Amino acid sequence: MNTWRCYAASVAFAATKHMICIFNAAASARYIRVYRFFGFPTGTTGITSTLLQLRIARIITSLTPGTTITPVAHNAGNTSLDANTTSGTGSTTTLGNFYRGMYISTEEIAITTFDLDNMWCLVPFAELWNAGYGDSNVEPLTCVPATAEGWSCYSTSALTSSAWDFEIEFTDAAT
Amino acid sequence: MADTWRYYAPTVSWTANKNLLDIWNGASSSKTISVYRMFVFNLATTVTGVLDFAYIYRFTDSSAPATTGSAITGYAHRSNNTALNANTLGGTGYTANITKTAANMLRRFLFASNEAVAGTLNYSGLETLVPFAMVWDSGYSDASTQPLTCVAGAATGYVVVAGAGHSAGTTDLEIEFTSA
Repeated sequence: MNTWRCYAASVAFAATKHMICIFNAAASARYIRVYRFFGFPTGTTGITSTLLQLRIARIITSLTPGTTITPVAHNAGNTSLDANTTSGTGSTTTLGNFYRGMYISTEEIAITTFDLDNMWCLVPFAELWNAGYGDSNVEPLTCVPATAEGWSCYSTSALTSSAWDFEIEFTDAAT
Repeated sequence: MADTWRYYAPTVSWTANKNLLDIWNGASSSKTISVYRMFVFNLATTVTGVLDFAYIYRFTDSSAPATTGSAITGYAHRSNNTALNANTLGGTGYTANITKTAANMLRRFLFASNEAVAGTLNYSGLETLVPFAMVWDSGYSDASTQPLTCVAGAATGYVVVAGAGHSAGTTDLEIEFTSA
């Protein structure tokens, strides 16, 4: 399956912000299947943080990308994405239902200490959503053709002076 | 792939013996429901919590879970899924028609409902992380292993339950399931 990756570096936290999202407009004839979201801390100095809740959410109606993200193909031979499949950070869209809520902490990462903040630096814990550990019976989060919808990693509140890297791993297919 | 759905119950309070999140497929349902994963995320803030067991039970009450609690709407992983059967129901906090017996207990695990704290690593903090919040999974894609199943034509449900000692803190819960 043609696989793609949206990657957004150093996305600053803000209240009610779509940290990273992907959207498939109604004019798209393609199925977009989101298999994984990742979020990695980046701060190494001077961040005093509390906990905030990140959400995995369905988004609907339309998308204004904000800062546009150009998805990168996992295989250079992939057929280009439909022009109606777009991605962004800080986007404007309409929230649908929440599918997950989870706490994160964005305090600085230090070399000589190990605490909760460090956990999200590690790939298994940075994986905020997965499609089912390879279980083919379980559907990933899907955008179907002719339906304006997408998926977002959404911040409920602001955390001062902190930013994370975010990724969305998805496939693009005709059926 | 089968039509996949999610029951998501946000900000559920830990109280003694509470049925935190349940799924029930009535005998009138023509669908087989397969439960692949359950998640329990620690959501406690500024609270002195309790360390006590949480439980996963199977139950076979013929009537739908009822009274006191709230219905949970299933969210589709794909917007053009066939609608769930009207006899497939989710709920939180229901007290009636969820009969739990020792013979039908599938798992118990200790859960700490203390607050998680930035800059601290303790058991409560670990419970905020996705891999550790997954309290039930179907077998990591092992096709030889069945998920928890409610077969068509037989009333069956599954429920995550708080232990008798739980009295503080909140949690987000999820049940991931297919309908076929």
